[in-house]
Amino acid sequence: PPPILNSQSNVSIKKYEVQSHTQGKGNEIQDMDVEMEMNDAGNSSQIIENVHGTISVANFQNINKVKGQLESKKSDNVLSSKLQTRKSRFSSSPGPINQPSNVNHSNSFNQNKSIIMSKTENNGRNFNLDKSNFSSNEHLQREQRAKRFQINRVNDPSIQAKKSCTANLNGLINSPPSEVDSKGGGALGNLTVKGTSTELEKEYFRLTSAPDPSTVRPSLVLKKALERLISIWNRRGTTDPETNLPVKVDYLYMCSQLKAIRQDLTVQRLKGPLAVSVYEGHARIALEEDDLNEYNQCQTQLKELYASGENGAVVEFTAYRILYHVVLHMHQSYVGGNADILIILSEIPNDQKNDQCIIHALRVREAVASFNYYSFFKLLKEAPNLGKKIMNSMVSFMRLKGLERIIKAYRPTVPTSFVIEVLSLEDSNELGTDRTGITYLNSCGLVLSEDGSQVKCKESIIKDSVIMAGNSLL
Amino acid sequence: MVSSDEVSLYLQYVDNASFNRNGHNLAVCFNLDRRLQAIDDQALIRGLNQLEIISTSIIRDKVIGSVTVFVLKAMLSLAKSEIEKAAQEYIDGLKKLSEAIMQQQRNENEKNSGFWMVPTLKLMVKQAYLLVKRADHNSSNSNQTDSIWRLYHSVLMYAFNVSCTGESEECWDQSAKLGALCIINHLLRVLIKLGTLKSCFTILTRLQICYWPEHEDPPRQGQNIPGHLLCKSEMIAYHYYTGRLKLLQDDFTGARSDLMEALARCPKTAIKNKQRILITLVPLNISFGRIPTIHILEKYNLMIFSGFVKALKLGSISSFNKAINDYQLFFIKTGTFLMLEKMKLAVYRSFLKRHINFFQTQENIETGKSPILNLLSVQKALAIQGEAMEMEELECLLSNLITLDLVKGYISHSSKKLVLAKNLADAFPLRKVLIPLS
Repeated sequence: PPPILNSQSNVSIKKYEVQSHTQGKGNEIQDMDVEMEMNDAGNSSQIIENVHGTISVANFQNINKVKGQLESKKSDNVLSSKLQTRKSRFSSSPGPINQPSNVNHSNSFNQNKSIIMSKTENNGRNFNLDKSNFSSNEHLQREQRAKRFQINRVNDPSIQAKKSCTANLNGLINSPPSEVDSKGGGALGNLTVKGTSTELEKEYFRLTSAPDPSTVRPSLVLKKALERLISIWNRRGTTDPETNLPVKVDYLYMCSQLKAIRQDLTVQRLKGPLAVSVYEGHARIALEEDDLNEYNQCQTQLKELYASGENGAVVEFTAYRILYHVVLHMHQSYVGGNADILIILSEIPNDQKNDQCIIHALRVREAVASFNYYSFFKLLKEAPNLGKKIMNSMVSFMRLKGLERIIKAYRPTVPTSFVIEVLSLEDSNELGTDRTGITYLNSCGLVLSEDGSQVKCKESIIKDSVIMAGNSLL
Repeated sequence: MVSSDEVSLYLQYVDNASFNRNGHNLAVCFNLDRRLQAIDDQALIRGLNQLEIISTSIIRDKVIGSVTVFVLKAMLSLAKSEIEKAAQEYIDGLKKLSEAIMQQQRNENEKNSGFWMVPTLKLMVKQAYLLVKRADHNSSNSNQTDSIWRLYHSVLMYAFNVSCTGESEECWDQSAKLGALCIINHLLRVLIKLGTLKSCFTILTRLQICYWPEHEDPPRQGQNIPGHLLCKSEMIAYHYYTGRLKLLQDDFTGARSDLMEALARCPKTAIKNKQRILITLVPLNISFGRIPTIHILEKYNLMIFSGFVKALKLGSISSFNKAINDYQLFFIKTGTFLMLEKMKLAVYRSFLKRHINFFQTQENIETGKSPILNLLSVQKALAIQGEAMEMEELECLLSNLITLDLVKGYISHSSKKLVLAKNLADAFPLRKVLIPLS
């Protein structure tokens, strides 16, 4: 019987990218990454079996990542494709054989297997079926898979279980979770890998099956890896003694390494102080590189870690969270932003309320809400820690609003220097080389007097400036 | 084993009710307020298992029997004061009941047969809510209580799904869909409390399609629910919660109409309900420029808003600041804080309008030209009110007021003056105060 697509599924599967690694022996081994679009209602998700019939562990991070992507509504394509190309460059190292399999995403109702997708297999890829090249493990798995297509399997208990599973997926999801079916190869609850690897460097690959313990690093190794990465990151900006050039650190490399550490942590369910340091470190690095998407993922994890009692730079990151939600609220398409901010406001414990960072963040929120551009730009200059990076996303918005108001309110003219000072346009580095505040003002539609010292308010019409400040991965 | 008289009497009562399909009687049985003293002692002696056997032997309908078992367990836990456990068990019972309804709906021979259980369902939903609230109150660990709410939420969703399914040709008199309104009210309550708004929209649209299919665009199959079948109290609650939801999405006009409707339908004697509606409605009306009278505030014990009334009428910024700071947490919890913050600009407008004579030069008043306000004096006056700000910040504030059309005039930067429109009525147009500021 041909594999049955679960008709109740609301998930569409999109093939994202296919690569082939060539290895010395001439085998072609496929590595396919398939990305799943989750239905926005969030109710349905698909349990996918990988080709060899084993349940894979949920890649928690990827789920959070997918959710984070949906929630932040920013596409990850640029970063992911860059990571993929990075991957291909490093493929010469003999890593674990990536089985030609589909990505497994399972939710907490991971009871049984259901079949999906022969689509991606027969797209004209070559499968080298030379059996001698496969490991014995793989051999076994292939045999199991072959068994699935035998005719008399109706009475097999796993298939019975499958049927009952697909019966009412919605109902299962909506009802409280029942016991885990241990026959199905272990669900999320049972899988915790204990790592044995001692590699300090590890590329990030999406998990396609249960990870091999020899590729997962235990916490001591992870700690050293983290320290190494942080020291690399701190070296940037200094001068390399050998070449006398400023040291440049590749952010994508750092990101991939850090994600690998995060993956190892999740797979081993390590949630202690080490996890906090990893997420905080990654969040800070992401902020320094204006990667708000990655920062958001770390922030979500940090929120849960802090809620379960871990210590860390709680105040600093709460302040970041407030600022981040102000950014989110600014974009009109974000629905329900009000409730989030209110929840955050109500959750700040009293002892944190007097902290400088939190006070600053709350003032920023107030300023943005009431379009108080003067306070906003003052606060921008005094932003503590890395808050400035988050506030940078709000800058162009506030500038535009500020210009609108200045044009409407002042008559007949207002000094250009005043405008430049209030809207914090003196620092021309922000706007790219060779651009001054005046150029920016002109591009916004302001009309200046002959000597450039006054802005003619009546004649100016504000429009969105073409000049983009800064460069981000958003 | 012979069970005690009270227990077996209770079980027989349940059995009768389920056999005769009398949902109201069944609801009385499942009402936790009526605690059976006998059950505590007997059950402690015999163990819960025996109780299960007894109930399944006396009660003929198996599913109702299992529901009863859960209810009994819940009663037992309540007696032992294990409130959280009681809540969980009761919620399991609720789930079983929904399953029962679903099964009966699917039974081909007797369509609409789930209908008789609707009163029971409603009662169990309400009782479960009270239990969860008690458990929340008693428990100190916030993580745990969150999970109880989520459990309740998931079971409610299940019950909601059950009650919304059904053929569209069903006659409304006998339909099980009548329970959906009650369930959705509780669902919205929980969701607003938990703060997850995204699922609210889906369930609201589902309900609207279910109850008022003709209003859909394009109209769907089926009749609208007839007015006499809509429970009045539930409709009030429905309007209240949808109003609050719309407020959280910044839909001020929609929120206002919903809440006004809820208030209008409230009976005269329901003071507490009206107070709850007013807690959200008063700030909303204020941002629409409708200021409540002191009489109303006193009647419903809403004196927290008196500061705002004073601030708007007199232009007193200090009382506005005081009012909003004193009760900040309360406003955040009811979701009106952000809206009240935006009112500050209206207060500034009032302030300028009221004290305009202080800011003008004497000759200016006499000659009757357009009023010119000295910004330095404005700055000093604000400092007296407790809002010391620099000149640039004041100009920024005024530019905001002018852009929002609360003040008609312009600023002269070099001479630090604000020039207003000639006529006072024109200078402070009323029109813009009557719409919520954004």
